[in-house]
Amino acid sequence: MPESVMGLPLHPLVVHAAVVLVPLAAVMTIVIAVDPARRSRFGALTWLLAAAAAAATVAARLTGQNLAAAVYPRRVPAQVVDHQSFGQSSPWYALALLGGATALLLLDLDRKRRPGIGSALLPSVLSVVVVLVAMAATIQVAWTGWTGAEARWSGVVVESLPLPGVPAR
Amino acid sequence: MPETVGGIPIHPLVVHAVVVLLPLAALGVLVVALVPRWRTAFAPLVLGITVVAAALVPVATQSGEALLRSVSGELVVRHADLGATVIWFALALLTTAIALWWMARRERTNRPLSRGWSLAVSVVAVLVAAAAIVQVVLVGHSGSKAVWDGTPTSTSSQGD
Repeated sequence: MPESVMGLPLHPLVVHAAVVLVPLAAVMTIVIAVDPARRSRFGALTWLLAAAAAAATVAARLTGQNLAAAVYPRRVPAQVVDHQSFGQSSPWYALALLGGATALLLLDLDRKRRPGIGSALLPSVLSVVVVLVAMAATIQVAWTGWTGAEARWSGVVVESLPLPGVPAR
Repeated sequence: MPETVGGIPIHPLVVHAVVVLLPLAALGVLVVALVPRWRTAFAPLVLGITVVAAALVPVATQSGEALLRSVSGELVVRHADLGATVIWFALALLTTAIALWWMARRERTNRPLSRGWSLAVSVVAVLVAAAAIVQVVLVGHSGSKAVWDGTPTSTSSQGD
């Protein structure tokens, strides 16, 4: 994995893919979980988005580990540790989302091949589980992004009025 | 306008709206200018996106000016100078989007502009759209540089 692009670290760029794709794939997965008609229509697209989202979280994690090692060779500040612990588990949430989308589509395929066979409860249970996984993945990525933004930007703006006679910097 | 959200500056968040929407609007202008068949269908949508994109530019620049009170440096100043020009590109793009929308309206009501005028509007639209995309890329990159330049990216580059 490259570590920089045009002289700048790659991590703050690639995280955008994860931040956009995971919630998008999650919304699409919820739609295909609750609406069988849309599942046949958007199933393939949703699966591709979920796969891209999972790949993006892995890329974000790898570049993030790199960046942390380069910037903090000795001790990682607490705020960054916070972000790291979220970022380390984000790929698992995204992979669970991909697994859920895969299961929905495979179950559909199986039911079409062998109509009338199999538990009537299973599709409903799977849909509920997948909706929960999609929500969890979105929340997880939101927290990862928020703690990352905090790690970079917290404390940059000190909210205070400039003192009289002291020029604002 | 608030300067921060949840304790972190709002500028690096809201710039994303401009970075996404202004090139999107410019691509829309390109398509509507170059593909006459799509003009009547999409000119209103393109105009709508361009209005939103242009309206968000002052939000980005004003939040950037607020952030200028807390950050400094040569790269920051260069980014601020470049960023201040974006509104003109956005307004030029908005003007061409309005012209294209008007052109589409005339075509729909069977009163199309003359070939010469259509061509002139399309050529100007393509140039303005291309310039807007390039400018947003340059401003965005200068902003990224202001934030991230000098960040070590590999452990081997560390002196110790």
